[in-house]
Amino acid sequence: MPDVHILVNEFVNQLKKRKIEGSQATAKQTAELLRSVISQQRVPQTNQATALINAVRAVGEKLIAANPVELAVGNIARRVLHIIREEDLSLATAAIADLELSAVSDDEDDVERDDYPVLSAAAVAAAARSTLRPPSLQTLLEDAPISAAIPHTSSSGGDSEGKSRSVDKGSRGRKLKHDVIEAVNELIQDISTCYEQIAEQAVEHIHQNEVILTLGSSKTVLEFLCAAKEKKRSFKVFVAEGAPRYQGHLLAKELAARGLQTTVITDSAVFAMISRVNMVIVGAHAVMANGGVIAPVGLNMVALAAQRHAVPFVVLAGSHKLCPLYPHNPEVLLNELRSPSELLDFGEFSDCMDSASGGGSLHVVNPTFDYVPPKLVSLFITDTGGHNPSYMYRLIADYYSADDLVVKRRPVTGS
Amino acid sequence: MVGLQYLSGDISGGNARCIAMLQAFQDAIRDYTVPSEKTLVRDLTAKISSYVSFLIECRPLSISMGNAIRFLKSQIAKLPLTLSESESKSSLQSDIENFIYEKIILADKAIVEHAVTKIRDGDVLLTYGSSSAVEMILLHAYELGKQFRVVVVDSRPRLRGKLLLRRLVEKGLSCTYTHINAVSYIMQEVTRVFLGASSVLSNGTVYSGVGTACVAMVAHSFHVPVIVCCEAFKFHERVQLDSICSNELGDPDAISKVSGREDVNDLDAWANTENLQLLNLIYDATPSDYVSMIVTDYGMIPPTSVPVVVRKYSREQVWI
Repeated sequence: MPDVHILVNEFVNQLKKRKIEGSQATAKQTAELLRSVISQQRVPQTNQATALINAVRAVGEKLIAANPVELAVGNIARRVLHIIREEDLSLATAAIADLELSAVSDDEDDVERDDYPVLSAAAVAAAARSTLRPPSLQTLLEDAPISAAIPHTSSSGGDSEGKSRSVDKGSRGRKLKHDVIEAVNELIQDISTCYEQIAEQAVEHIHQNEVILTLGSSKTVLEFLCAAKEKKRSFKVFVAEGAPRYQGHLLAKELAARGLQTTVITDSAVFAMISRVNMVIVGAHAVMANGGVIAPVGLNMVALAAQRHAVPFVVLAGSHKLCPLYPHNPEVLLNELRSPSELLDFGEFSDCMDSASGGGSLHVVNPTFDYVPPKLVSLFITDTGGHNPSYMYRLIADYYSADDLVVKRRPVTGS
Repeated sequence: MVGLQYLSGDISGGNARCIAMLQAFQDAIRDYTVPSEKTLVRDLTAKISSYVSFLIECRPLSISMGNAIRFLKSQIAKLPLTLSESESKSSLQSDIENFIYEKIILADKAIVEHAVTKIRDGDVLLTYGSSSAVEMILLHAYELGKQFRVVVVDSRPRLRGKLLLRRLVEKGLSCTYTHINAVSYIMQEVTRVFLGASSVLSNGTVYSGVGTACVAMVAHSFHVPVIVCCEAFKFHERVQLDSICSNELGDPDAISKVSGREDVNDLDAWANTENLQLLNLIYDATPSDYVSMIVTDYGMIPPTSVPVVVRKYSREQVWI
């Protein structure tokens, strides 16, 4: 336990000081940290899932508080919680299947004992089966009375089994941790390989002799364009430099080194050039539940210009960037202001500030992110394929559970 | 000499360039003497044309400068043949003097009078780059005692907004400074946008420094009124649909070097890298539907009335 705390505190410090940059790196580190937390967490005999969930919740809360704007941290914490619940449910299903067979064999004993545990176990089994089956009208009608009982039974399902099969419980506990860690490993693997899966789709979207516009720099965009180049598509790229970090310069250098015709333009020239562009391809910092995009500053301007000229605006995002939250006032709440020294040198204006005849004041504003509303985005390309902005909320159901939207430790109640 | 000043960028800004050019022409006319066999009119016109081509080599003409040159040539052409050389020269010089005074200085005063009525207490005004007309408006409104804030948006590579910012802060206005990428962020707080123009074309398109179109577009999407301030002599009967058909290219090295940020040096070797080009546009064209109103010395007009002013103006010129 102690060294997990040390790891957690280290990571929290890094997040607070903004030493880690980029959602992919952050996501990977978060996943690895949570994996260590899970593996070192001692689980009690009953309610293993709840113990794991609480432990992950506690750590997740700290991490999110350290850097609330880095949404990838919260995303991964919620993914891990979802994994724990899923694994628990699937183990419960497997165990219930065994339990049912044995319940059928010694009927009289079970009937004399309270109906409740057996009933609840059967209910859990039915519910588990229904989640594993594709939804149909039958399952929808079945689900209604049972689904209310699920949150209770998923944890008390462990209890009822505990009463009947103590031996299985021990091995089941180990199995839960083992399964969860395996799934988290898969998650880490997915995060690392998201570039390849997105880049595979490049060929479908980029044709011969196209002109592409991008702003700033994103590794996903770089891989995407290079993948298309590998498949012998010849096209030109305009890169807007992305002041005040000027990462567009880096991207342009990389692209030119890999053999693509690149032109660097200033951000102010975007409206002028976009009439000659076929497609805008950009990366994102985070994708919100309504399909809106938190993107590097300046991309709202580009999206508006693209809409005006009917140019498709394509956003590339790995699935670790998908956030289940709705953006309320994103320009203010999900934004960070950086140091003004990137725009003005510290001493540059001090002479005229002194001579100002009272009332003269100077503020410098340097936001990091921009919010692009979903109606300006034509297509999202993720590692699972291309999607409309209106579809993004559905992907959330695959990756996250509704209980985890607020990652806060629930006060310990009777359960 | 004026040409060299253009080349080095010492004189920049539509009005400054125009005034400098006309004053240079004044000096040239003063020092001019007619060679014996030639007529004043033709020779002087030829001389002026040669000066103009020199200036074009230093830096392509702005549209307003083109208008001023056309005015001058038409004045030369209208000189009655009976006038002596010195009388013609002095009449031309006084014509130029009048032009500068009426069309630029008085026009600016009229624009300021009109535009200041559009500024109310509590306004947050946004301006882009550095325009002499907008600067005069802001300072005049401040002198009148109106309470407002100014947001100065700047962009690379010229970073002209810093000069405007300096002058405003010295006079005591409360200013906010930001770069063009952040304009979506700051536009929520803004109540009015004031922009200057290098020229206004006949279809209502505003031809101005690169980035103006972006600012006007974002303002339009946030429902903020955009007010363009432009003297009437800058109107032109040309039409243009986008910024690519006719534009000016600046020095590409200005993009690779970022002043004050030595750490950004990835593009230092850009000339040697094949496949890599740098494009430095100077102007861009803002479509007329993004502009709410144009303030000129003839009054405040919507962008659709620009061809009417152009017509009236060219007729007026004939009668001077």
